[in-house]
Amino acid sequence: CDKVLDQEPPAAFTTTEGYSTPARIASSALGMYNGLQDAEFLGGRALIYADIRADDVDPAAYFGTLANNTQLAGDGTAQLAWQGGYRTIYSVNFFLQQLQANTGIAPANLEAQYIGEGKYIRALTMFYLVNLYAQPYNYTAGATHLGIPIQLVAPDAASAFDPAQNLPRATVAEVYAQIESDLNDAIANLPETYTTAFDKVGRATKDAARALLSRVALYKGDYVRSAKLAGDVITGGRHTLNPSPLTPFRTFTTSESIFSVAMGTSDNPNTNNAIGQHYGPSPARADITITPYVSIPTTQFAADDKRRTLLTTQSTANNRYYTLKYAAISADWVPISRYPEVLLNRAESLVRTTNTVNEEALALLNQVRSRSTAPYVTFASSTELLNAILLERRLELAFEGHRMFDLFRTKQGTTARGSAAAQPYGSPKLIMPIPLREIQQNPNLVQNEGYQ
Amino acid sequence: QTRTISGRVTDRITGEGLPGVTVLVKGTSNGVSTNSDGTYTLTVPEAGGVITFSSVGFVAQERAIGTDAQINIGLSSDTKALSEVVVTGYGGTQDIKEITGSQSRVTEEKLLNQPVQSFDQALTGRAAGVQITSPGGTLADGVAIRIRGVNSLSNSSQPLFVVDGVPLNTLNNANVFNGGNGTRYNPLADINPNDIQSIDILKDAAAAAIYGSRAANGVILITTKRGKSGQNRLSFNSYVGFQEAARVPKVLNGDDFTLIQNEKAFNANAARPAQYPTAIIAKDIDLNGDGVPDRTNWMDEIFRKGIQQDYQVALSGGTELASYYASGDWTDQKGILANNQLKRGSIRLNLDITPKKWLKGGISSSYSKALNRGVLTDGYLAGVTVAGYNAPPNVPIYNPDGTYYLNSAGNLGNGNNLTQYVLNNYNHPTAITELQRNNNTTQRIIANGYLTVEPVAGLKLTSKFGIDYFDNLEDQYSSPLISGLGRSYNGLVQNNRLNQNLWNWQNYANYDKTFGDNHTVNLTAGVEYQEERQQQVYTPAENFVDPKYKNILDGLYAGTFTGGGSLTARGFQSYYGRANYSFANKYYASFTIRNDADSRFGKSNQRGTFPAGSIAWRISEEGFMSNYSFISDLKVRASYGIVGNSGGIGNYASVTTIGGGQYADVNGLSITQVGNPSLQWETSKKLDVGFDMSVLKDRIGVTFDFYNTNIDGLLLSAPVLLTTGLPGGAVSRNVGKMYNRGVELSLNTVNVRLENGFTWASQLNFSVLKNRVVELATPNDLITGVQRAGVGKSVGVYYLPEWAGVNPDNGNAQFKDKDGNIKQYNASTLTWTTLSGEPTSAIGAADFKYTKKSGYPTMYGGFDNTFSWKGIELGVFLQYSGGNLIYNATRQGLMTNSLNNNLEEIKDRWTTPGQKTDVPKLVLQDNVSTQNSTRWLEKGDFLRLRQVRLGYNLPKPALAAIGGMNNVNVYVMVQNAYVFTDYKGTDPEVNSNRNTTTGNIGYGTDNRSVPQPRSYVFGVNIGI
Repeated sequence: CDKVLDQEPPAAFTTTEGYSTPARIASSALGMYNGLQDAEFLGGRALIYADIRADDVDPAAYFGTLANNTQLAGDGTAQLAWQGGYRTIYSVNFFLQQLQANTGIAPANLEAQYIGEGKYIRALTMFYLVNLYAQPYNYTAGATHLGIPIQLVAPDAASAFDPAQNLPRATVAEVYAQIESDLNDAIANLPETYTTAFDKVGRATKDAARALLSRVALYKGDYVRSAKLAGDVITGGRHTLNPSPLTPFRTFTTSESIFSVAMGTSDNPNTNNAIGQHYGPSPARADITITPYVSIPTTQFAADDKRRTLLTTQSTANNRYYTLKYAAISADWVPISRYPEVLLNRAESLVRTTNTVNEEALALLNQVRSRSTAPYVTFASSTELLNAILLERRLELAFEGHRMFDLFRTKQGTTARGSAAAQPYGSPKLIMPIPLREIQQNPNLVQNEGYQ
Repeated sequence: QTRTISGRVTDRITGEGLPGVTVLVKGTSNGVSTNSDGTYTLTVPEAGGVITFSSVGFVAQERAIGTDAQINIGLSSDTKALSEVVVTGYGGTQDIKEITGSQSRVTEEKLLNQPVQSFDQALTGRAAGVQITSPGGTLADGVAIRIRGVNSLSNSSQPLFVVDGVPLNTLNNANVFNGGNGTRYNPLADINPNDIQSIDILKDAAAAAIYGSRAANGVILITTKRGKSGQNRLSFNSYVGFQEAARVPKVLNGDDFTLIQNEKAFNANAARPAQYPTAIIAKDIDLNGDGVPDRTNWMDEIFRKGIQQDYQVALSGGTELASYYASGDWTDQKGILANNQLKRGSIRLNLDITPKKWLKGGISSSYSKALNRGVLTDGYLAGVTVAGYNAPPNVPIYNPDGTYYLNSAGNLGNGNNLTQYVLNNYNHPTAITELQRNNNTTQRIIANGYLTVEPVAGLKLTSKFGIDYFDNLEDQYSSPLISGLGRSYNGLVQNNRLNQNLWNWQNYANYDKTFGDNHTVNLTAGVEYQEERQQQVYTPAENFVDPKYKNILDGLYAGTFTGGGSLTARGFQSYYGRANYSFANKYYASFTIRNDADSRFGKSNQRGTFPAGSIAWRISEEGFMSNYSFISDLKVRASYGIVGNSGGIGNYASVTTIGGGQYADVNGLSITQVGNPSLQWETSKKLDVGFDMSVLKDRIGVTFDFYNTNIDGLLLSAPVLLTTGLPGGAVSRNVGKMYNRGVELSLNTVNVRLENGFTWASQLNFSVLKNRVVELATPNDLITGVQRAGVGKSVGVYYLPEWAGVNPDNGNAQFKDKDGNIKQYNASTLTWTTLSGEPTSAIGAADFKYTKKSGYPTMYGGFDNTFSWKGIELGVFLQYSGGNLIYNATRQGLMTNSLNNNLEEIKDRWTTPGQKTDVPKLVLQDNVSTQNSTRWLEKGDFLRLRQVRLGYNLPKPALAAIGGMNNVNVYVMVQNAYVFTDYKGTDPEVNSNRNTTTGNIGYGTDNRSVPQPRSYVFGVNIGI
């Protein structure tokens, strides 16, 4: 009868058991991606938050205060996203700590790979966090304005309450430096590719890290580096465009997708947070309509552009417009890096570094454009070419978590849409408040302007 | 020479015949017992003499025989001699007069035929120090029970429930969908209140310490009815009645709705035309073309008059060797919310046999099955109190063809109103209740068997094995016709089967012995094992071939969702002992100790010891008290002890776990919990000092207690900074200290007792308490919504910026900053200015202040009056509570500047300079003026006329005329007849934060809770 006191958790390992064999460590490495799927963050919401305030979508009632730029400091969405982001980082930090404590159990090459995967996930998460909660990199010279706290450890029950955990906000430059450091480590440690179709897109590769680092460099204005990294991906030859722009959103594992957060039907069938729930037309929740995107003049966004004809729809039920990029309701993979972005990163960087109508840039631009609509022939000036690249970026990468950040890095604000007023570049309302709960608990945190 | 006399002995109060009264010719052995109707026939000497009438519990009387052939007599009950035995746990019973701890008792008459779903609801206001809060009128909703205040912050504050000696499963809500906060089912609703003989509430450490680590929140011992020898009875108890919402929110009608919404838009348009190009956002629609605009009063759609009925047949009786109690009960309650229904059938069999003087055995067993048709209420857009309160009243319910009036997304059609200003989609209030299914079916067996041997006189050895097997099938259906998951997946059924089995085996010895004349000892010692194991299996099914199919039926759905499940268990092992000693009925002492081991704690922390001691002195037995003859009994007592609380701690909370972490459809492992190996029980050090007194021949009974509970090692789900990233954002830790101090007074009085039989008796109980958090190891307050636990404050204190009313000159909302300066917010220009118009910063985190009061009442109690006269009995039961503040988030949510329905209060909005009002100028989408502030705090004081009951006991002749019934009682009753309060919401007895982790600190927030019901009931109790 005294056995009643020996109760082992039937559904879990203890920490020691969980890292005791190569197979369990391999499973735990995959568990980091489970953290990446966080319903409040890169399970889709982080992308939406980057688009819902920009000029491609209507200010959805579901994301009311955020979409209208009327969030208050105690906003629940801001808190949940913040929590979700740092929870994802925790799953990486915890894994890295345990791996270090149990080093030598898994083969060395796999250990290196796991470290690379972890650092990629951490960098990706921090990248979205810093851009949602802080002004863009170019807001101050040297990016000396406040970013987000940099969390590199996974505290346990006791150390979570250590005063050392009252992390201050690092500057945006420091946050970017950490992101770059993680991505450089990731590039060094990750494999070029995997064997299964799922892993090739659903797990981090060198190209995934290069593509993200290329974007990071672009945001910093380090165009030489951005061009170089994008060039590495392109010359690697592992990625190609599908003939149709629809394909990567229906078959998630084509070579066009460099990295996506994979989703299955077992992921969150009961939550409202899936990206397809919000963007998809009925029978999904159909929260987000895209009137501004389809209203881009046909001179810029041709009527027969396949991204218009294949990837948008007007609902017969309510005559409103929806994107068709997310059609699986809750099993849509969340696109992080697609090959077209890499092509456009390099195209843009080349133009910006050469200030000419760069031939390679034009070719890269047309590579993206020609599968959907008529390619460009020539440009009179580098500015026109640059504008065309930026427009192409808007058309191609819409609803994938780029638009607002692309506006910011070119020092543009948002336009008025529906009930949402226009916001100039640098407006405090364009970044989310640091959650009030954190401000109240952590004396070292400084709130964003306008949310005091 | 003899002759025969006859007569009848009756109860002086009730007039009922008394069976078993000894009628004896004084000084002889010549006597008889009265018959079941109180009549007797006795042969007496012609010479006369005296007859004595005596019976246990009644004052004996003598009569000279005289010459009458008939002698009728009424006996009055001897309250002093009538000993009331209370249950103390593990075979212990004690005369209430010898109790050294603090214990309250509620007996069957307060529980029988009450229009409630579970017995806990019937305890409201019945006992001093026991506060019961019903969250609203949803059937079988959980009830918050706080004995002597809130005793925990993050753990459960619910007491331990023990039925016939066996602890119940600790489940606050049987349902798990929607995170366990969707539709709720209180597992206590499986226990038929009509089967309960008595409820003993153990409040202080002396009384409760025998339950050791589970006793800190108090212990509620439930004793079910058992048969008595010599009384074979059949009783039939039934009531029927109806209930309605006592008060519903007053929302705008269609005309006012249109007026108010358009005023919001007009003001916004005037201020910022670029952003708000239109000044008309609400327009009528005439969908059916009858020439008048469509109008809907959604309150009429979501609320209804519910019908309740309950029927019970009980058989009881026995002989010296064996006794039985058996019952069957059927209840069907239709609640005040449309489609809300609870049906329960239950049976019980309690048996005791005593084949030998030294051997006794028996069982207590019950089976119940209940179907609860739940309705989603607060917290969900698809909840009726959200959808129904928000919905525009200027749209129809149905299309002209009779289908629901829905938009393309399956939400309520918006008529001609402009949708972009709607904050959240409106679910169709009628469609959600009629099309969605939120059922759960519980089956439960609570049973135990025991065997007691008495090898030597006074020593009893008992072994008792009990189980509480609980099975709940939760069955949710989401229709494809309306917005939600059903629409996303072409119909979705989700079933979850939860079964939880508790087994408990206890072996204990009781020893009673009186040494010499004056020394009485009473010893108990035992050992106990317990295990609770819970398993859940979850199965979804989606994408049905036809909307006709709404169940998981093979071949009729093409979904690919996978099912799931969970398994969890915990074990418990204990030793316990109790020694009671009394000397000459004057001096009493008691000592209790328990040692508990709990599998949930780390190996080195599994055991804890919980001792308590108490003493009492019956002063009234002392010689010097003979001068104070008006005092018939006076006992002072004191107790001190240490008990624990671990309710609500997860089964494996001490370990860090690596569990399931699937990535898409690939298996993975993730950290699922950060465990704390140093977790321990919360310890409550409880001091109680009190006295019990009877004066004026027991006309007045007083029980008074002062208590001080110091809680140490408060187990907090302590919030960590979210930047730590810890799963759940919190860690369970023993980090705080808190105290509860209070005074309780119970007064039982017979206010009027007239010769003609009229009596007015009353029971008054009164509690005041003070709660303070003394220490938190976390540097910051614990926060639930707008409420907090902070050092030096009482739990549940509000932390808000101070509302400073509306500026009469311009209609701006005004708040006070931290220094008390007024800042006003102009919603038209979106700017903050000082009172003199200088630009200033917004009200922010620094301007929040603590309120003086918290969400917890500081005084509460009940006042029960019984007026009886010749079989007519009128009961008037009042309940009161006060000293708390309620955060009326319902009101806040219905005074918004979005396009949704508002309270009628909004008609007082500011419109013209100079106007004094508390509602600012309306500007569309202004969410600053309505932000969290003391504007939404209201006093929670109330006096409730909780029950008025008028009953009639049929007199003997009438009973005889209808076939020799024992008793027939008919009654009418109104439950929750009226509430005296200034609270603007539907009811001041409210608690929207129910679950363990938010319910302690967030106690007292009203966020669209369902109104309390008022019930009208007609009932009958028949004994044959």
